[in-house]
Amino acid sequence: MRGLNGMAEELVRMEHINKFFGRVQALNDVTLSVRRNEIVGLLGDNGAGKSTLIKILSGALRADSGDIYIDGSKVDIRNTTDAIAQGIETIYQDSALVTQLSIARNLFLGREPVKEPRLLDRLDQNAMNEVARRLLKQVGITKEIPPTTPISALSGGERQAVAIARAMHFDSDLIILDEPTNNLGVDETKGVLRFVRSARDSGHSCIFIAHNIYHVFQVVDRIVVLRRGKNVADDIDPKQTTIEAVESIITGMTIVPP
Amino acid sequence: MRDGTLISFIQRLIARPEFGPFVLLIGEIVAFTVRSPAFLSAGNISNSLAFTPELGMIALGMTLLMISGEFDLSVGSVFGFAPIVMWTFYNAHITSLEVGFLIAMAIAAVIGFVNGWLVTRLKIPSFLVTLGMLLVVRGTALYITSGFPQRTWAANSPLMAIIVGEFSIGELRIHTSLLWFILFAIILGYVLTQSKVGNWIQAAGGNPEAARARGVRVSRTKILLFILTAVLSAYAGVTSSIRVSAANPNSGTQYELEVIAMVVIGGTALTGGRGTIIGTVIGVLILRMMRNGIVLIGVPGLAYNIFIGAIILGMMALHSWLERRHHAGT
Amino acid sequence: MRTLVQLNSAARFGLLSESQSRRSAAAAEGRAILRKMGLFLPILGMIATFFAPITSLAADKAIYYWVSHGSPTDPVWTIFLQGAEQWAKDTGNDVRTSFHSGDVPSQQEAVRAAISAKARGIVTSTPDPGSLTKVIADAHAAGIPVIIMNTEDKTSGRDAYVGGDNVAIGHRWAQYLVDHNFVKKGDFVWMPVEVPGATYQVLETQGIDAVFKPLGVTYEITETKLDQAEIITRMSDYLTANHSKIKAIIGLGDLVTGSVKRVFDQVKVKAGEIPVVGWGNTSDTAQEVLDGYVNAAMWQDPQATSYLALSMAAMTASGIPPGFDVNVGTLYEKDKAATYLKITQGSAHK
Repeated sequence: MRGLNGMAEELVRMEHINKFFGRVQALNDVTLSVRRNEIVGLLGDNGAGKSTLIKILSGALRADSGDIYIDGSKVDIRNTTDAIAQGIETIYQDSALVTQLSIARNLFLGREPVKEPRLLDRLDQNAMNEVARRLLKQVGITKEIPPTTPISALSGGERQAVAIARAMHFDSDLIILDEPTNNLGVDETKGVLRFVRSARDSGHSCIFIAHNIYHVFQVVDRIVVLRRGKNVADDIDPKQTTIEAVESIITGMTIVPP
Repeated sequence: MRDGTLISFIQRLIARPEFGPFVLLIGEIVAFTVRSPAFLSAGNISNSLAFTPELGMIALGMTLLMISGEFDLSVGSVFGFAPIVMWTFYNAHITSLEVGFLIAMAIAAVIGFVNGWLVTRLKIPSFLVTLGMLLVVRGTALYITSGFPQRTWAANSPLMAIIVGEFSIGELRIHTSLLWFILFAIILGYVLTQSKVGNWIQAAGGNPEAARARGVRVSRTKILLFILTAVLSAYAGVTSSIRVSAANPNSGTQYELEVIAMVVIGGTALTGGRGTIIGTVIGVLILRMMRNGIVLIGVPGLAYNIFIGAIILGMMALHSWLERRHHAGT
Repeated sequence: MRTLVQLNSAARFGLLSESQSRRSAAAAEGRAILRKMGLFLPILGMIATFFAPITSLAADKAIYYWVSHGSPTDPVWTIFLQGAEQWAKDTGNDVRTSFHSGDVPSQQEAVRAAISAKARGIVTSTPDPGSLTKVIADAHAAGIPVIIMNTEDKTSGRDAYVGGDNVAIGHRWAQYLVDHNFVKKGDFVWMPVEVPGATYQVLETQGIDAVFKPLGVTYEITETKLDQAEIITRMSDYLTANHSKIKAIIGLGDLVTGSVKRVFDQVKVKAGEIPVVGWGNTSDTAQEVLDGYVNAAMWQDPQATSYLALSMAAMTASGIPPGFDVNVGTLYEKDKAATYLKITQGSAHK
């Protein structure tokens, strides 16, 4: 299927994905593709299978059948470590941050820089703090928050920003945002959306899942819709459609104009 | 930003989580000394510092383990079991004391590994796993000795002096075990605050899912901590057996509770994710000096436990109150 | 005046000026300091008031330490403690007591504390053979006499011993069973004990063995631990399993001997069906002797032991060398049991 950026290469392709939970089929021959520098909005009602699909991509679940291709080559994502190794980062609702640790420590968790003398892998805390300060500015946190502040001192939006900064810093090709604005206020939501756009502009692709279509319409390049575990639409350009039309595709009920 | 770096230094000092326990320690020392000046005599300080390293070493390992979100209730049993192994081999002339020591440490490492494996692989809560291990190890110790203590005073090996030899600084009699304790505390404190593993330990306790999602090997880290705790307990037990000239299979009974109390009084959260080595050291000193002081000044023998319990509860209440104040302001 | 929380929030949202933020932050920190201090004062106060009635500041009262290896929940040790407290009252001396529940390092630490406090005398009981030798040497080096009570350790260097001779006591029990024709060659005797391997068990068994071995009587020692409920459970289990082969029972400790009636009732054994001898320092056992569950019980004169041990310590401290030990122990049967029942029930009061 030719997309909007017909010449842009495909970054991720999931094909013929099937997933069962017991006897319930959560995903039925689903296909999803994401190009480079593209933000894809994944929409669907409750139980449509959005979360399941991206959990498979991020390594939290394994598909029962189907293939995943990254940059054209087939890959096997067995766990979250594999996904991260493939350049796929996921931002969850609760941001996967450790509240007791500082911003800097969270940013570098699992990939801490070390410095000499390397006694027992000594942390390079100066480097961590420096980079943390820079990233915080980049994601639009204008207040002077020292990178040694524990996450527990940050608001929900600030925490999401840290999580996104982390994903961006480690040069992940694909950032998956699973309902990132659910618990955020108006200003903070605006910040996250602004941020997602700047992520795309600086070379990352995103998959954006949300319930709130209005949020999705503001940032995504392309909309994919799932209903009851199946693809129903793959190629919707938000600039050429309306919210009502998309809603009807999601629910499967057409609204007949009077 | 602030004028007067001394003031800001003091303010930062007070804001540290270890400050509360530290003040309690000073208060305790003052109170005991007022009632009986002999408390701060060279003899009594030497006395107090003789037993402290043994429980303290266990507490160091327990601190890291609890920060990562797990408990080890088998430390008391391992404390008693390790010297039994060492002295049994030695007294039966099967090996030298040194080799017996290495065997005891190896067995402790295996015990720690089993604890860690059962907790991380089979996902059984550490409380239950180590409770079972407590019984297995204690039972084994009683079984192989038929309840009889092992003789320890016939041995004469340089290893004994290395582990817990006595020497004097002026009027103070110090055991080398105190130096080992300080060394372990420095190393583990460094690991916790300055190394990659330290970051993983705190993450594993604070939000293990998040840590795993970032690629931290949580299970492996926890298994290592269980091994560390068991080996430290075994080492402490061997130290004790040499110092008190007794290798009793019942040694170490209920030490696990005392050690956990020390760790928690020092500021480590029961739920994991938070804690410091300095805090634990202070907690160790608080409880040990409390026990020593109470006997010295003559609290009636039967009221002893009331006192210890009251202090522990009081300290817990203080911690949780300070916690809530800290969070309320942010 | 804005509240602390309001000030904090205001500061966070940049609604205060720099200097206002600084001052409010400093004020907040100051309040936190005061609060932390404020909570410590009552804790210190609690500690201080607890100390007040306990120790006297009068410097010339002689201080004695009474250090028991037993458990504070053990009813027998409570009677020992009574003897120590009575002595303190009668002589006007300060007797500081502690229990250590078998924890050797803890007990050694307590004796060393007594040395540091320049005690006039120390009375203590042995947890494990050889475990007190070093601290007794330390005490002697500081000029403090040490009297061992209740559990002897001959090679420890102690100044004197006050208590039962556990070997002789074991011997007397075994001999009693033989003399009354309760056991003969080939019979099996059950010997439950709270803590196998402890000094008292080791010595008692020596005495018993001296009588039983030549006669060809076999025996088994089983552990019951120190918790009352657990003792009954373990003893009942063993008795149920081995009922037919047990010809007599020797209770090597007070808690086990005192549990015989409850165990017999639970396993449906009649009083007197199996002859029992053992320790008789508790009201439970005295009652059992009266009711016929226990044939003969050993009274170890616990109050007298503490009292005399402290007196020996005082005497030695005054320079009168103690050239002898004091051995206690009375084997009582049904006819004398009432007396001991009264003592253990606390009616022998002033």
